[in-house]
Amino acid sequence: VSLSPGRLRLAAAAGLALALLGGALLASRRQASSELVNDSRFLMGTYIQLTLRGPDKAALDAAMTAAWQEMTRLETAFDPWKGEGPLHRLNDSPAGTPVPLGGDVADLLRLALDFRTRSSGAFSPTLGAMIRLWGFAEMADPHLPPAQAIADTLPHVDPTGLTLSENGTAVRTDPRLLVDLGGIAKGEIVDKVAQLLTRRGVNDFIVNAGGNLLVRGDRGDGPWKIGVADPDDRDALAAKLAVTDLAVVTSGDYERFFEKDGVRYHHIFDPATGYPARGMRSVTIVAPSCGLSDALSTAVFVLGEDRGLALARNSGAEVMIIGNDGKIRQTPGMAKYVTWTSPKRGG
Amino acid sequence: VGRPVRPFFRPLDLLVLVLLAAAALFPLLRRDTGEAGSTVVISDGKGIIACLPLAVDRTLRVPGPLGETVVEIKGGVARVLTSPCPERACILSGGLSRPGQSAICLPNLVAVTVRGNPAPDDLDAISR
Repeated sequence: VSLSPGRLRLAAAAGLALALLGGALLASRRQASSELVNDSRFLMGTYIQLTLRGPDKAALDAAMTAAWQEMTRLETAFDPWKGEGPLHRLNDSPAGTPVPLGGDVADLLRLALDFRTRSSGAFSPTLGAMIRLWGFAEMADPHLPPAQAIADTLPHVDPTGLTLSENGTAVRTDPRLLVDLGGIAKGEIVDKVAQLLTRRGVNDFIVNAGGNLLVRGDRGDGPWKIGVADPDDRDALAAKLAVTDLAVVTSGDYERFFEKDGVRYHHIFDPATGYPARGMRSVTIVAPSCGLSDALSTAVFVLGEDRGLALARNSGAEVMIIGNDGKIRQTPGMAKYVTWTSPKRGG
Repeated sequence: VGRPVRPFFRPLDLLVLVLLAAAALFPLLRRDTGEAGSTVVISDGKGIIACLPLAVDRTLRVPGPLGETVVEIKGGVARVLTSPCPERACILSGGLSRPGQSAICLPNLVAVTVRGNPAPDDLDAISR
């Protein structure tokens, strides 16, 4: 049997068209089988947004409920200022009182103290007294304290006024020292919620705690797309990233601040001076762990550009810094995540 | 002298194929832009208090611990018009029209977020 060239062309065209239609149908079924569930709440002094993607909406809803329960539990455990959690009990107890912290809090405090050493003191989990003095604790009443009050408080942020034993019991030996894990706890909670979601079979999600976020999997048509806020304009972006299975954490002088006599005072303190750090405008960390990224972003901000970039490299993280000159500097490995950079930031 | 070599597909064949391919792929390429059918979700400290269509103009007054936050939806854009907070970060967030965009007022515990099917260029989250 032989076919004429005309019939051959017709057969080939029909075959191609069928293949295209089949492929489109399969792809559209795949898209339709992917449910997207969003929910958000005010927790931990910030706004938490969860985005879960998967084939089974009921399973996503159940995972969402479990995630909120876990976050509420951890919020209480890590809250240094109020409630029945061990950290508040520690801060509220008379000096010399042993306070059992429990596994979650003891492990994180140990990690935070270790990272304080690695960051040459740029990050500190014992800054509570200074944060409270400035009124940034719970954003109660941020204000510029008298210089003498800052100087008087500075000795009481030294972690030698705290002991943490192997069994997870902590004692404040300095009665004015206050533990505050705010620089690492949000990231740690994001990590723990991500682990919970993965255990429940959710493979594609974003856990976003006020801009400290961790993504797993993808958004269906490619990696998750994350914007990096511009320090000068809340309505603009400094860069866009495409990431999967990583944390993205940004610290900047444009969040949680007040201005007095034309000077901006923000919430990222230099433990050495007791004043807000001035080394840069913002820093964005991309790394596997959100907890480590959270602490690292604070330490890099305090250390300034050169020492901060060196610390990040030693920690295995990628970093994008927006300096006081408004320009972006980044580690070489950051380039593989950056899809766009604002022209005014040097893009 | 042999017969002239004719291409297997003629220009008209190719045109038909391209049209077929375009018809097959159209539903995939046309992912919802998010404008039509997008929802404005407004939350306070206790949870979601309103889910409103982005396409319908409306003004909402949301009470919070510091006072009243006024949210406006107009012409397919939601924004915080006024807020009693000192930083005014929620107002400075500007107009929200794409899924994923949000204006958050931490001091007054009010959040305005646009939800819908994201278009390929839409962001999934903003790190700040």
